Amino acid sequence: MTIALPPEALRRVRRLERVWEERQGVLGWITTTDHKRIGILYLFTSLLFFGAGGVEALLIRTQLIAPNQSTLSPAAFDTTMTMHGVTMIFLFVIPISTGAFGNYLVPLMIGARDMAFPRLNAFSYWVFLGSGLFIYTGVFTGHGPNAGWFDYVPLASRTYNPGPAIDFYALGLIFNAISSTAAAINFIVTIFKMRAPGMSLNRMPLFCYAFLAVSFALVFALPALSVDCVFLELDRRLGFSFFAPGRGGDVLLWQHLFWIFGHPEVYIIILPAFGIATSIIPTFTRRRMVAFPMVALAEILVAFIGFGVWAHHMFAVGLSTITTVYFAAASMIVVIPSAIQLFAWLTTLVTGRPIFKTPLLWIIGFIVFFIIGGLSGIMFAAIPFDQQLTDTYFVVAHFHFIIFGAAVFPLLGGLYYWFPKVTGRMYHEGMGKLSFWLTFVGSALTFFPMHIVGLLGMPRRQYTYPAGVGWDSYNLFETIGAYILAAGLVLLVVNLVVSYFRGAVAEADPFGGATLEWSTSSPPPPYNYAVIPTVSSAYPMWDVEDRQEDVRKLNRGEMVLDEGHETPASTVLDANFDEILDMPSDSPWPIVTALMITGIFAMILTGHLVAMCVFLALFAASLAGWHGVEPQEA
Amino acid sequence: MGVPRSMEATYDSAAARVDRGRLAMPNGWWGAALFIATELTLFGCLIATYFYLRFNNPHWPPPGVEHPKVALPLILTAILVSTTVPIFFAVRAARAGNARLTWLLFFVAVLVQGGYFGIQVHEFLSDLDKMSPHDSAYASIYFTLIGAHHAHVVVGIAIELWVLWKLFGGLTNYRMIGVRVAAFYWYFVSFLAVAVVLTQIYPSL
Amino acid sequence: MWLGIVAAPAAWACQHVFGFGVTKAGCSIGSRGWNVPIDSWTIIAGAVAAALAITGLVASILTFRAVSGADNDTAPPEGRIYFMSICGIVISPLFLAIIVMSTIATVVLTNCHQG
Repeated sequence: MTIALPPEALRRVRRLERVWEERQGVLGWITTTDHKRIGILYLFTSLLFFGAGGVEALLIRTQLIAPNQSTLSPAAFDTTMTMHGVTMIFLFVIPISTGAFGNYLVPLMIGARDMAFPRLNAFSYWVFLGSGLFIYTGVFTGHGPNAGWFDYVPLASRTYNPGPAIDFYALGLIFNAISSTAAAINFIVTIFKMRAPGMSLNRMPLFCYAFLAVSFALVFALPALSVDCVFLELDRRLGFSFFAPGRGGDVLLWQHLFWIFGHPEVYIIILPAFGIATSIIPTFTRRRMVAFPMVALAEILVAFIGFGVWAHHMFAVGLSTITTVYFAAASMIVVIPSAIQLFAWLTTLVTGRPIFKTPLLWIIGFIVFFIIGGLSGIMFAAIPFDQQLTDTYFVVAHFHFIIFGAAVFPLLGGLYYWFPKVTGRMYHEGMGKLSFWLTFVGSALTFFPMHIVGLLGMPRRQYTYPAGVGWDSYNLFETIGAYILAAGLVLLVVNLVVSYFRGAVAEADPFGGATLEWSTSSPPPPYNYAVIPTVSSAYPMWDVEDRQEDVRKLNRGEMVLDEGHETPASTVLDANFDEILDMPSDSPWPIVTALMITGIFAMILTGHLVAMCVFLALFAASLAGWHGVEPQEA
Repeated sequence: MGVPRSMEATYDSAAARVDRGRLAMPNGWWGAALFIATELTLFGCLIATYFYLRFNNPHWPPPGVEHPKVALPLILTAILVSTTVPIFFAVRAARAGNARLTWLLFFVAVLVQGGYFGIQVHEFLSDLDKMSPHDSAYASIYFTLIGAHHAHVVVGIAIELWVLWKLFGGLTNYRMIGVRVAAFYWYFVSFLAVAVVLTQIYPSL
Repeated sequence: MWLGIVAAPAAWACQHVFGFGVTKAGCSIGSRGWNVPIDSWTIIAGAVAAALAITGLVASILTFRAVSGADNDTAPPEGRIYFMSICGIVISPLFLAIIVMSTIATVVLTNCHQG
């Protein structure tokens, strides 16, 4: 803090610093329960997986640069293509948006000092890391999953895929689901119960609405995937008959359960991006978001309706039309909440006073890609159209416009936007803009021609294609685009790394943001807020009187909560102050428990049932150890 | 202010007072509720799979497989559901600050639930002798659904054993929440027992 | 307030799952003997769900009018009620649309025709 504090206030701040002091070194990071440190762990791990997924993408594009290439053998192509999807979805986009952005920012935005369950938070991270290493162990031992990211039976059954590759997939995804489920539960309880008193639902930042929607979607979608993977493993390892048509089973059962998970999953992917966009736009247009209640509602509605559209991934499998129309109808209406948000963003941009700095450029790029990707998506809601273009590159174009253009662009913009807050340094603006343009042009060049080549009939997931059919030049452009895109991303990484060491020192609020994280120092202290903030609108940083009241409160010693590792809990709807909670500090139990779970899954994979039971017992013991230490004792 | 520092309630009557004075449900309760939501969804998927496969098969159960028993499963389920009564009163006792009565009522519940589980294991193994998941989707979903429920009963018993162990040291705010979570979990398992048993005996209805 | 937010989504969710189930029951080999009257059930489910969705809309409009004078910044509970009533007013017609669309389409199309 740069303002001089009177001695009383200073003494309170010093006390907070002492109580919240964090262990340093490797041991400190392994036992941390601080949401900010956990966010950073998630960030680096998911960026590493992003790199892996990116390499896989470049391998695919290099293989497809021209007909009949042999960069990748057919088997290698199948594994690369599968791992590209699995890595990007389960090991990059979900962890970076929920684990990195969500973890770091949600407690700050609601005026809390940590998540509701700090040890569970750490546990989510270690389980995520374990699941990623687990799946990649399969890849590096020559048994990488190879039946596509949606792993349809019967290709994934033991008959057609006898090795352990699919077991790495199925067990790995169940393992990964534990991490995401724990994180989702943590977010919901945090957002419901830990908001600063006064932050009723109508005053909660839109970013938090997006994460509330994401978390509820994860809670209800992941069990379907886990059940599906359990069925698959039972069929493969114990000879069950879920997917065996000759014994009363059904291969479509896999597809139904998968897409009951899979469609909400893609809304889970896009919603954090919506949240980031709705945070960046008000800051850089210097006005409030148009139609706040409708945007908040739209975020939740997209997730909710998204549960009812799953069979639109199955329009071409032979279901009767009276069944599929339910899903076509819902698929057409699900576009409306997204459109509400889009119009709100555009209106805010047009009626505001925009400052075209790097974060806003990424959001504008996001809007462009989202419009195009959304339009190609809504076209698929028409069953006849879908049946012509299913399994062609038109689908690939649609979802890459959405997943890369619309989900990842705001993440990259968010990296720039919150970089000063997290590191205390400013990024280089010129290099930032260049990295945006390279990535934008590269993405357009990579993914747009896929619409055309898909309409011309090029099927997806094929390791090569014949010459002379008219697809060659499009594929060439796409590969060139992919390399340009990669260059843009490399430049982004270089910018952030160099700026971390040599960037200008950043102040608390370099952009004039509206939400509470901009009131802390850059980076924030371990206790986030010396005083639990006073809140009377959804744009707290723009309420000057409230921020002055905070300073007065610090001087009076009100809502400082410095008697222990303390933070307030309030009621769900109106955030009435309810109790003062003691939070646990550093603990070894999260990582120990995660290690035991890794052991359980490894033993299931290798078929050592006795060892699995040993790990199960150890897992129970570590849970007991964890819960034996009550938060006030930690 | 009147707002308590909840974690400072480290003895019986203090913990009870904090619990009664709260406006909202405690964080631990919310966490348990959401976890239960995921498990409910899981069982929803299992039961939906049961009926999906049923629609997929002209004969259900398939030829050669006998119809499920009706009486014994229903009786066992009724016994399990009845343990929610001592559990309900255990929570009331805890909220009144009476750790000993809470302990006793949970102990009674655990004994009955343990007996229930033993009989169910016997039934499960004897069913396996009569039909195999290798032979039919019916058997596959039958054993998976019922096995999943039994696994949840085991977890519930483990949670209660943990609560019983910790209650030797009296009630604190943390343990009070633990008692409420254990009870909530058992209400959920009992509800599941009814849904699962109805699905299980459906072909004989 | 709650009725306005919950009625339409709940109605759609039930009609969606029930309708899906009815088409499955009517068209699958395992249930051929049941002779499910698909169209009748579809119309009944659609009508009930539509009625509930409209109820939700009315409830939201009444709630909105009850807090007239509030806006999104108003202190709770009025501000929060205003916020949630707007949610209900926007939600209900959307779900009503899905319910009506799926009911009409299912009735018009030939039953059990694969496509």
